[in-house]
Amino acid sequence: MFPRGEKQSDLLAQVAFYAGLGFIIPVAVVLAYALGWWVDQKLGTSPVLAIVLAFVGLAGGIFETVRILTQREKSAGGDDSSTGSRSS
Amino acid sequence: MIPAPDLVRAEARMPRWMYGIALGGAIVTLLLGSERTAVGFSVGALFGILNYFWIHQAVVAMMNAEGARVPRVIVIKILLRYPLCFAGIFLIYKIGWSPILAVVGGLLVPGAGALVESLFLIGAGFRRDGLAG
Repeated sequence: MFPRGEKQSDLLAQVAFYAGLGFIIPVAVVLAYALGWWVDQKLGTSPVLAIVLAFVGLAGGIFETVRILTQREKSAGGDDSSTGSRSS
Repeated sequence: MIPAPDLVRAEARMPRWMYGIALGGAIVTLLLGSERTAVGFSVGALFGILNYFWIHQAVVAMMNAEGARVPRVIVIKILLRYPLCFAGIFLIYKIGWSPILAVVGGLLVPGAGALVESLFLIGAGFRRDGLAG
């Protein structure tokens, strides 16, 4: 059982972690699309690079989100194995 | 730390949010925009959700490989799928069948799904632990 202060900081750490996790994909897509749009304006290739970079940003964002979740799942599974609470 | 079974459930819930957002977005774009906008959004959402499943599959394979080489089949699949997706979206742009911004908006669906899931997890954390309690 956690003392109250430790429990609160643990909860806030989780809030920060998941809030950040949720923003990875949208931010990656929007930034990549904006970069592609800007380069397209410079090179006159609109909207080829914007589409390509939006896709690359999407792929990168999803990759990072799933990697973080999978890694955390593994480490949480390792922590839980001592208590036997890991399912599936 | 959130227990592993909760994270497994979170991963399972994420595609459901994406389906819901894609459907809701298609209806909203149909009502506020045009049929072409709705189709463009749906195509973007389809590519985005497919992308999510492909990358999920690749990451799980990489994690299971743990330092060993990533299976060649996964690499070949990625190399084949992405040019096809680019080609599909570029074709939509080239024939001018749908506004390209609607397609890009559809590509944001997985991001919206991840955002909703993160809010859901935060809400679940508050309900379970309770800052006041």
